[in-house]
Amino acid sequence: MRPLNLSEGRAAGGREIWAVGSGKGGTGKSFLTASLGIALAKLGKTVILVDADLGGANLHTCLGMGAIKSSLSDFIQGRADAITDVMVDTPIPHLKLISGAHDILDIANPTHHRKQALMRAIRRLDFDYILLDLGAGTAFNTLDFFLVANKAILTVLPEPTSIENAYRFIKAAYFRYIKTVARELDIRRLVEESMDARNAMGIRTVHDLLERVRQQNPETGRKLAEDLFAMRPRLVVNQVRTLDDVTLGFSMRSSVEKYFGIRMDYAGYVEHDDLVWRSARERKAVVHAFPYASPARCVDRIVQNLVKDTQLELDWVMAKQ
Amino acid sequence: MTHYKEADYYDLLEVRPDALPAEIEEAYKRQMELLSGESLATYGLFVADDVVHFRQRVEEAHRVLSDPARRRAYDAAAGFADATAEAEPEAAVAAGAPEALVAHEAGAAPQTEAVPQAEVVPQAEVVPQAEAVPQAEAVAEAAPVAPPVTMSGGPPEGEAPEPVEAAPPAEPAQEPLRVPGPGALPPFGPPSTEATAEAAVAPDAGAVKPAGDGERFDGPAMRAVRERKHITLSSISQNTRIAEYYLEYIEAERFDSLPPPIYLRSYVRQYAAAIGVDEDRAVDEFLARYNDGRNGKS
Repeated sequence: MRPLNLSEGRAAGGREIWAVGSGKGGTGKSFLTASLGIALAKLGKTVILVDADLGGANLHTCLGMGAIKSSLSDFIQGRADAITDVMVDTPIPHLKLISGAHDILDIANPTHHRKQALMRAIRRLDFDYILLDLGAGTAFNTLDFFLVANKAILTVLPEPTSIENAYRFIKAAYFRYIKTVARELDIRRLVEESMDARNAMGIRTVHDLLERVRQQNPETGRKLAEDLFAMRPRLVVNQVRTLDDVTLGFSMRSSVEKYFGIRMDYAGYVEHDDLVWRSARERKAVVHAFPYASPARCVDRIVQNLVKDTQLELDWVMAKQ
Repeated sequence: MTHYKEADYYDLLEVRPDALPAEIEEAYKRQMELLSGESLATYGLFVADDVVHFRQRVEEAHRVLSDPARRRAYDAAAGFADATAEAEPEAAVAAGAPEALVAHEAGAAPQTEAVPQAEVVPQAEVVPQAEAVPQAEAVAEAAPVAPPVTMSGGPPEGEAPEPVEAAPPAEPAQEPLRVPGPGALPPFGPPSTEATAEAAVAPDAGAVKPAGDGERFDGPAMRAVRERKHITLSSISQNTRIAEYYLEYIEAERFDSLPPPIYLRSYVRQYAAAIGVDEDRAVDEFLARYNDGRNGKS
């Protein structure tokens, strides 16, 4: 049922791919990817960060590194034979980086063939954790990287624009998934038509779409429901300032589950802290430079939840107040 | 958690089936706030008309769960009866299945179409169990005054109230046996399977041997029972509002595809009720298999 690239989400040798995406730029994807990588490396894991933001890469900056000569574009363009040739060390032990393509515009939309080759190469990387920093928005490339991951992490800021786009992102990702896995032509057409928010069939959510698929083909509907039940994006709310910002994650989880018909885990939040901004200005990786400050502690908690497949509990949040 | 169109009332409010009235009020307020259209968490999520329907369902859940009598009736009909331990037989019969009440009061012969009603009402079998607990009657007489947490106007007339629940105040010696507080286990020990099985299968009991004495309560066995009784999954799904594919997974024991235990419990209970096998045993044994299956895998 699952397509080639999605079925093998788990990397070779039981390693994990984590992808960090968001509906909108500026939600702290690169910050979070870098920070998660540092936290995992500190746990003694081998980690590679891949800047898969093919249009506007800046993961290296979040790690406190200057411009990097070799990048993913060398591999995509065929100038480097192996993906490991474009891999560089970072100041943090156990942590490596593959920098993104930052100069060639058309690289943001590689051909299907190149994309498949890239995904295969990424999956073969010999690390405990492979972390992908995705571009913002709902481009198919981004969605496919998001869907290929073992842990698909979605970052939002506690503000309307970010949340609105996060929902768009979720919808686009799930609809794309359904379209990719459905073999029947009529079902793929159905998904395409439903992507239009004002479609005549009134399909607006994953739940609506699934109902409709079930009517057209009960067997496909059943299998899809099963697949979707196993998918669980992990939500991270970044730059929280108030308790309401923290509990926002619980409300979002509840809303998408009850209305949209999908499951989502609330992996955690990162408190707003000027330290993040200051560190960025000084080109330091904040969780590395200030391991005991609030951002690092928040990130550690998120890592714990992601590694153990757990999530934030409302009771815990309330007790902490 | 399930989609709002399929969620039960507790799911809708996001409270546990043993939630206290105050918790229900608070949860209701929280949900209504979330659905008000003002909430940041749902910004850009709803398309106008949908939220109206969603809100109506939450209101409906609140109407029922905030009214003790309606809540008891709902619990009984939807298979939550063991969560609110003081559920009374009458309330269950009355609201869960009116037909059954008529038959019950008039002392009429069992219905020929035994399938849905009789089985949806697990409490109907409480009477024989009361006899199985000898002290219960004496206690019930001694202390007919309001049992600890009853939310109704008092004990029902004519029949003994739920025996074990009523026991402790009158007889301190029983204290250690009681399971106190919310989330209490079903008040009875191992259920009297014969009584339950008989009541559930009614007229054609001879022809159909339900899962029960000595038989296992695994998915395939329960499926066999259902098929012998010619009950379709879609009819169960319609009555219980449990998605049909979950019922299939229960029968196929596809543990990885089933929802977490907190929901699964209720699903198995409703399913067992619908096919007329012992619900408590079905829940216990199926969840034990579920846990074994899951642990064995991971």
